[in-house]
Amino acid sequence: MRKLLSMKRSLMEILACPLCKGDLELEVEEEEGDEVVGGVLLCRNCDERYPIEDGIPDLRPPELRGER
Amino acid sequence: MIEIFERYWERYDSWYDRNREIFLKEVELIRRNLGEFKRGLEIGVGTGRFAVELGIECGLDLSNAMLRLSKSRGIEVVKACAEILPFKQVFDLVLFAFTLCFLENPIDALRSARDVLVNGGRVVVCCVPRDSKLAEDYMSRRDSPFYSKARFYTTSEILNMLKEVKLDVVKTDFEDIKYGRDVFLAVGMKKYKN
Repeated sequence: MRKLLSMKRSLMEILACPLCKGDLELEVEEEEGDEVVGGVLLCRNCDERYPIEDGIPDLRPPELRGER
Repeated sequence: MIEIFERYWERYDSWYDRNREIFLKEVELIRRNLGEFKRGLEIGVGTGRFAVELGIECGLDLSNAMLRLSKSRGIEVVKACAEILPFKQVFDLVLFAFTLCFLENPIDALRSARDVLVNGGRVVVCCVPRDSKLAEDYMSRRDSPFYSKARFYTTSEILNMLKEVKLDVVKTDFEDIKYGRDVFLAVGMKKYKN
């Protein structure tokens, strides 16, 4: 089985929403030990969602993710 | 631009093994100008080669393949645009190691880097300057997927960009790779709150 890539939770201390610089909330969908493999980063301030896949958060603005 | 790195990431990464001596000279140039830092970020971290050597814990890039490799080398990575950084004001070092020439908007990227610096923090820019013989070599290699897309800047253009985003240039340095003064480095410090 391949080793999963995962994100340290301590990264949350330095991340901010790229659009409004607001705090982000972490919603975990998949984890390994204390680290996050998959999930969502949610900005309550501007109501934007950023995916975490294979432990890598995608914090590009939504229009640059090709979703809009 | 990103498609190039996504497609040729193995070739890109193997450059560092094929040109180990040059790479170590570049690392030495950056290392002797870094000073001490607590929290560092590398913009355009690529496959993590510089970050690993220099002890920079966090990096961003746009290429999934490169981010995965960088992460497997122990760097905490984020997929993000250099011009719109998703960080709080927590870094005392932001490094652009041979990255500026590949960015859509280097001024916005430098301004964004300044925004994530604490007061007294530094932006370090390292690049092959357009006013060097080495850049002429690179610019003539239109067959290279990387260099054909790069936009080289002169040393004075780099310094002007740092000044434009209100970073005080506190240090400059060069390293000899092939012809002499082939690689340029500038350190810009954030001295004001806004």
